[in-house]
Amino acid sequence: MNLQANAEDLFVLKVVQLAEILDVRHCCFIIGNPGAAKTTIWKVLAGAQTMGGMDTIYDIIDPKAVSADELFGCMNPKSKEWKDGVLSVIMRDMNKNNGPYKPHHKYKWIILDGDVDPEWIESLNTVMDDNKVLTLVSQERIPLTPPMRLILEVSHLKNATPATVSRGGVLFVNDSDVGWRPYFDSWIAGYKKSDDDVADSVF
Amino acid sequence: MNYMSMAQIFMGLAQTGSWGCFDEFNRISIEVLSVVSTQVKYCLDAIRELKLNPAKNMFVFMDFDEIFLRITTGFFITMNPGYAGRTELPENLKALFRSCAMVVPDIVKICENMLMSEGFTCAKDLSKKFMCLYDLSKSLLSKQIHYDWGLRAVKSVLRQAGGLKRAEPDILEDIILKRGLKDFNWPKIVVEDRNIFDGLIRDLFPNIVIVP
Repeated sequence: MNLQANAEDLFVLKVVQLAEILDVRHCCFIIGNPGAAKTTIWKVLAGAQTMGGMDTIYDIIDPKAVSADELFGCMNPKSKEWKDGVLSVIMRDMNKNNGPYKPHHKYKWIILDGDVDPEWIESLNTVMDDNKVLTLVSQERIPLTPPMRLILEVSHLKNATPATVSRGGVLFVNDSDVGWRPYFDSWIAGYKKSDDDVADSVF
Repeated sequence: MNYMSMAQIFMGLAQTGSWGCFDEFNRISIEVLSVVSTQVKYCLDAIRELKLNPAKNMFVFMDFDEIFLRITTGFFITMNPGYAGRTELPENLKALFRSCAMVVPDIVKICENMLMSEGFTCAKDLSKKFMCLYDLSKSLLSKQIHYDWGLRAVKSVLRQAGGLKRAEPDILEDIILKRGLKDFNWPKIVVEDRNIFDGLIRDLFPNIVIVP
């Protein structure tokens, strides 16, 4: 994996903190403004764990790109036919080691990348607390197995209720934690092959 | 959740005589809730009749077939009123349930007992320090939506501290708790609050150096 990122101390600290949170919690919010390196933090952790022999696999969902019915699945009111949702399929596959998920994966993450809306997050309450079970309208119950983690990547929690916030661990990425310098450094590194140090002297 | 799946649940509870607890009940939409209140009424009426006349253990639930009813059937609702995305319960449904307000529990006592069960010997002092830190944090740090100093947060820190304690039983308990508190809360503290939080921890656990 090559993210062209530099190992800044503060960035590494955030990655380590995420690892520590995921050790004790099965659900974690990564909060930070756009450009605060939220995605890079978990991607680096996933890559580092895979390189360290703890295979990590993840799936990313944007929960606001689909309706709540398409996320969790819904029952057709006329035909009584059950139609699976994005999240329920992924969770069931992870639970049963179907498809791309194999038993050798030490960590299986579901990344929910998108702003929190009570419409869908409240349905995850049972997953996020100690029950660790996703209950669907079809009365199916999908338990969260020990390798599975839920990571929610959001810019703010303004729409979340206290019931939701208290259920997950929180990693807050301040704007100043990573900042713009690493971006600049890795960008300039791409140009370093061609001799000029002018750009360096400008900043 | 539609009214048909609620009907299934009610029929199941009535026939087995179990108690059912509906958690986060006010997340059900208002249209469904108004049907639910009639469903509850059906059951409660039948139970009342069964009390008077123990022979009458069958009842007609809505427009379904006649089903069996046990006297022990009961329904309970737990919910957080007034949150975003939640509905207000209709008055006729409220009238069918007795309401009972819960107050904030005495977290110090819970904390002390959990510390003790995790194997800490000076649980009393530590729980006082713990709650002192959380109370002060709640009032002194900036108001962030993602800060949570409630019971759930306390429980997770204690569980983590318990793990640390069992991993290294010979280390001073103050150090373990201090490390647990710091590890757990540090990631979510925003930049402006870092010095304050650091100061609070330093004041509550003086003369303790954390050896990583």
